[in-house]
Amino acid sequence: MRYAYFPGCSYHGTGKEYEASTHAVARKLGMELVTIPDWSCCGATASHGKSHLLNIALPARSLAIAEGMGIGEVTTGCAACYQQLAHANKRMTENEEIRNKVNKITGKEYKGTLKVKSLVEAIGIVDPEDIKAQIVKPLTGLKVAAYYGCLLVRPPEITGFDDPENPMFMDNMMKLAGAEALDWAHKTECCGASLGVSNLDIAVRLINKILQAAIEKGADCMVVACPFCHLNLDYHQKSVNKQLGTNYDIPVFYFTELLGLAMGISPDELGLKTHFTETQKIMNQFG
Amino acid sequence: MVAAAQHPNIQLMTYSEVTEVNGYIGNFEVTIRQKPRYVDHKLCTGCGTCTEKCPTKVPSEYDLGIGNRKCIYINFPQAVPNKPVIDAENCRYFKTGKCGVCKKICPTGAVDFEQKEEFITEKVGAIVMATGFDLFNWEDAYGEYGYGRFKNVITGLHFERMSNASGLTGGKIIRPSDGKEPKSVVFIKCVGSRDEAKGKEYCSRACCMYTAKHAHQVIDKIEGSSAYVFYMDVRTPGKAYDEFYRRTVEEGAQYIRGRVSKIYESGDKLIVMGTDTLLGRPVTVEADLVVLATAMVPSEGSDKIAQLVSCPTDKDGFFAEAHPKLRPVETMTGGLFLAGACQGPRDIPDTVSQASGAAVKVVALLNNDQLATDPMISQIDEKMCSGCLVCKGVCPYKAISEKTITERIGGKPVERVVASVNTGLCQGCGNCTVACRAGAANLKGFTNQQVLAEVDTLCR
Amino acid sequence: MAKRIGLFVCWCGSNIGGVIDVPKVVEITKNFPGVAYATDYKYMCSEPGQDTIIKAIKEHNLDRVVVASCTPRLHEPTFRKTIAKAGLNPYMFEMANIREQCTWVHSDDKEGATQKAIALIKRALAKVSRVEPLFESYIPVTKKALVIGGGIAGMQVAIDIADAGHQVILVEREPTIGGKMAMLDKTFPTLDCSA
Repeated sequence: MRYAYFPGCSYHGTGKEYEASTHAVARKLGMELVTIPDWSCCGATASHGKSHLLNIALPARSLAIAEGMGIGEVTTGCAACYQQLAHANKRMTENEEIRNKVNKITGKEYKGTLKVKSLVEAIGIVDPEDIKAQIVKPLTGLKVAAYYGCLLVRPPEITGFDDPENPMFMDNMMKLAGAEALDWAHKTECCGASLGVSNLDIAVRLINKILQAAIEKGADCMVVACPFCHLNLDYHQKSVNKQLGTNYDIPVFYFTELLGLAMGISPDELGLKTHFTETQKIMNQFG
Repeated sequence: MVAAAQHPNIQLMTYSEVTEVNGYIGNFEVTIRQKPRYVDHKLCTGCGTCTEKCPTKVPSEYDLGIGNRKCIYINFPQAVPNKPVIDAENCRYFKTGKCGVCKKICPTGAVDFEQKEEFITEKVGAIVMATGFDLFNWEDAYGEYGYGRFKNVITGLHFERMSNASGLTGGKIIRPSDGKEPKSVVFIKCVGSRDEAKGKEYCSRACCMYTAKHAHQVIDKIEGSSAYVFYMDVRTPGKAYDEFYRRTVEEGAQYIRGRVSKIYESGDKLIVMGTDTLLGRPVTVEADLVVLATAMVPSEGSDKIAQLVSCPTDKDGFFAEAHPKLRPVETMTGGLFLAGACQGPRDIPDTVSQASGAAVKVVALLNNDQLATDPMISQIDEKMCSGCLVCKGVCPYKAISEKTITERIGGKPVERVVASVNTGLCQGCGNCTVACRAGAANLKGFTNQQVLAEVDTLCR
Repeated sequence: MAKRIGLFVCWCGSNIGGVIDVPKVVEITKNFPGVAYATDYKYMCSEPGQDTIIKAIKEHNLDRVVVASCTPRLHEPTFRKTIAKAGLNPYMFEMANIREQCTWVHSDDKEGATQKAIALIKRALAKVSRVEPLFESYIPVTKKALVIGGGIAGMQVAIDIADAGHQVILVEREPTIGGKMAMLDKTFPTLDCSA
């Protein structure tokens, strides 16, 4: 499996451990991630409010470069980058008029031959036996609430994988890693996304609901597949505690971190120590 | 039900299916399969001893799986006919050859494990389709309501089975999960109806009223209860309908205009998240029971029966009427009529009116000793017909058959096959005239010569 | 024998007359070969309209008729009966649909619509020149009905037909009749029992 890889802006910032664990797990699975040279901002959150064309043009530039790599499939870990790339790809392949317009803007010719897959899909479609073969430290007894957020599986016309109302890809991966994946209701509820930065009062209420639902179901930890979801659910637990008087301290991992842990990759390599929540207990147990 | 069963002019055939239909208006020949009941209804007195003693229980289809029934069973106490059948698929005797308790204890010897299916052929002059509806399979479409994973999310029909005094709970409304009486009940309308993305485009017409009835029943039967109704519109165009709805509101049912976006379980409660579009804000209701008003869809198997009788269906699979306003109970096939929800969603009052309308059409037909047929039908010029019978394959009314004619060629009689049109079956659609390579098939009133003359004139 | 066609162009109030120039249409189409009589009227389907046709058939010895008006789905049976009353074979008749297929869809182009109406009428005249009398045949009727489905609809149909004195076979695939209705509790709006 070979993918043109789009890191996205959080790759050496808030999502550093996601980036590290992604590459570590990919190596274990024999998945080759070739970074798109000179990739640029995907345009997430801000650009479509400014101009719909800009919103397509920003990711289209990177798509055009990726097409030139001759790999055929693009993947990215960030849910927002994925949404942007998949959306632009759909519009560019389906509508010739838009394709021509955007190609003129970017100055790069994108023919529309690529497939865009989120990292969750790319790993989710790996033969379960191949994943199982790599599991050396199964996460037996660990109760995991897999949180998908809003952009990963919706809208189904663009994402086209997994169930938009009750996604299961990460749940299945956690089961393969030996953990118990919880059936819970808030898999796709909004985490507040950029409101975590711009309007914390609202984001805190949304984050609270998600954390509460996961803990109510008995979750030991959560897994996510988006740096923004992670920032809100992990870093902002203390904001929730401060504002609402709660006492949350539930570890929130990237799904690749837990997969990596089960594959015997060292917590250091996976970046498990860069969390704001208490991860030591789980590291001690399974690391 | 009793009136239909006891009428001297009605021959009731239950546990039976129509398997073949041939012929045409005034002259249909139908084959009906009588499925084996394994109980001789002539001998059976309906005493019920067998049902009582039968050792095997399976979920009752009639109660939508809420409760169980035996393997020799009657669906409900007032059933007509009030005599049991054996469910051979689950019966211990049929599965293992052992048991036979029902046969041993039947005082009249009515149980007959050897009974076979029977085929009966009947001639009739008219056919009425009254195959009804089923409920939209919401579990496949509505993930936000839990895909059927939550026991306490039920359909309106489930609710009916519970509030029905002769049902399993004896008319008590309960939560399927723990049998407790629900104090807070949420109703959601238009589940599958008026929802192009997940279900059907159309309105199912009866739901606004039965939901109002259900809400009324909750308030009426359960002390201190609350009923919430999430709706898109309240459609109550019928005599005494809006008054009924208003009364339900006045009794305290809380109508919330908006859709429900999510239901999830929290403890033993269901959390219903929706929106109140009149207030412009999200609403969350803690519920003990959620009742979905699911769309009506054509009953299972109605597509097969439509093929049997050559009845066209609309885009949603309902039987197509000949004209939506002027011929609502007739079809494009002569002698075939429609009654009830098989033509489109409707409630009981409308069904009864339409059924009586269809009956009048049938009676008007059967009152004739003979029928004049439309002369604008296909005719075959036997001299030109090559006998290829391409026309037979394209005829949607099964009106063309082969016929052997004798011609004299060189003084000797020679037999050959040609196509022949049944004047009773032919509806004059003209398919055969287009398919006929020899130009032997011609539609009277639309002959090739006449059509060409029209074209010539227009082109001149 | 030469054909003697009668042509009757309907105004349908302003539905047709408000868009095309009806007198002009009659003036032009009456010269079509075989047309022995042509006229127009406000509402051809009305009783005086039909009387006009009957009177013209008799007075002008017409042997076939074209009515240019609405869709044949609406009034073809009406006019067939009209000419039969005047003694013609009802199939010596053709309709030109100059309402649904002309004035209703071309109300923004009156001249174009007038030309199209003329063409549509000429088509009908060409057709009617070649029609032949057709005769209905008769088939027997088995005086028995089959009702498929024993729910409320099927039961009601069966009872009504049976009450009118005809035999009915009521077929139900389940062991008992009543269908969905029998499953219900009380029914709206009167809250009476369903069984």
